[in-house]
Amino acid sequence: MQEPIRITRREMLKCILAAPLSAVLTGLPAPRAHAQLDEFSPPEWEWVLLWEGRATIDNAWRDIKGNNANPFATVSRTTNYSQLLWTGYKMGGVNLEYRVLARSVDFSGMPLASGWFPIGQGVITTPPQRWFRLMINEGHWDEYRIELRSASPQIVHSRLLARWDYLPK
Amino acid sequence: MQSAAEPLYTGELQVGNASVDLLRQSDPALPTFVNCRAYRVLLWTGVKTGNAPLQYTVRGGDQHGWQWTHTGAIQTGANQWFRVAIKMPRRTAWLRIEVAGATQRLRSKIVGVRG
Repeated sequence: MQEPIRITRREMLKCILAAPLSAVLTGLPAPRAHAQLDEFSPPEWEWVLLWEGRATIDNAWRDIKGNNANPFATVSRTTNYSQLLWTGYKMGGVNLEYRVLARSVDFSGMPLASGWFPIGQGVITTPPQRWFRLMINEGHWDEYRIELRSASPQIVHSRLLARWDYLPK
Repeated sequence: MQSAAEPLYTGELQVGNASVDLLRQSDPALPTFVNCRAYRVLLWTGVKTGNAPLQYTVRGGDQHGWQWTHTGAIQTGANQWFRVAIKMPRRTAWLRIEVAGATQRLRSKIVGVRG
């Protein structure tokens, strides 16, 4: 008499799930199809990391790097970017006020005038130790400054990405 | 990678009641910029020193004449930043940007956005 094949319930489930999928995948020219897709459908844009770090934010207006000197930009040479994406993580429970400023510079990199053009402002009300995200749609400025203020000091982690649009061939 | 946005102009203009373009050309037939067919949008940013509004006219065309016109006003206060986004109704090789208004200085920059 033949010995019965012993198989656990988990192994049986693996066989049932894996067998039909492997049958479908066998003979599919996956790498070649992927290469063709890349050749004919290049990406339309990509996100570029401009800055990542953290700062302690208090009751004075500071940028996301912690700099409270208003004439200084948070990021420069941003003319080519059509959007900015600011994601952050705030450690405290107090609301975080923000304002986004922008300006243009001349060919030597000097601002055309003092001050900033206000793009947007608002309040981040997420609970402590949660992520938040803000999309800055007014692109193609030369320099940006993102300022924060908090009623009680808290650490804010930030990551600033910029969208580079590829031009159609 | 090719740039999506290119600076076309940075400069300062003494504005008066007579309409002149950004290069101080008063002849209305002369273009301010040529070879502009690649641009979809012009972003005009800057600061004006006076409180009075500035009237501007943007014309697009070619050597056969102007084909479209867009007018507007910059209403910001003295020494305040402004930004005007001019979307091209049609791709044209020539562009002319004229400004007129009460006497004041205008320091501005124009960036052409491709695509």
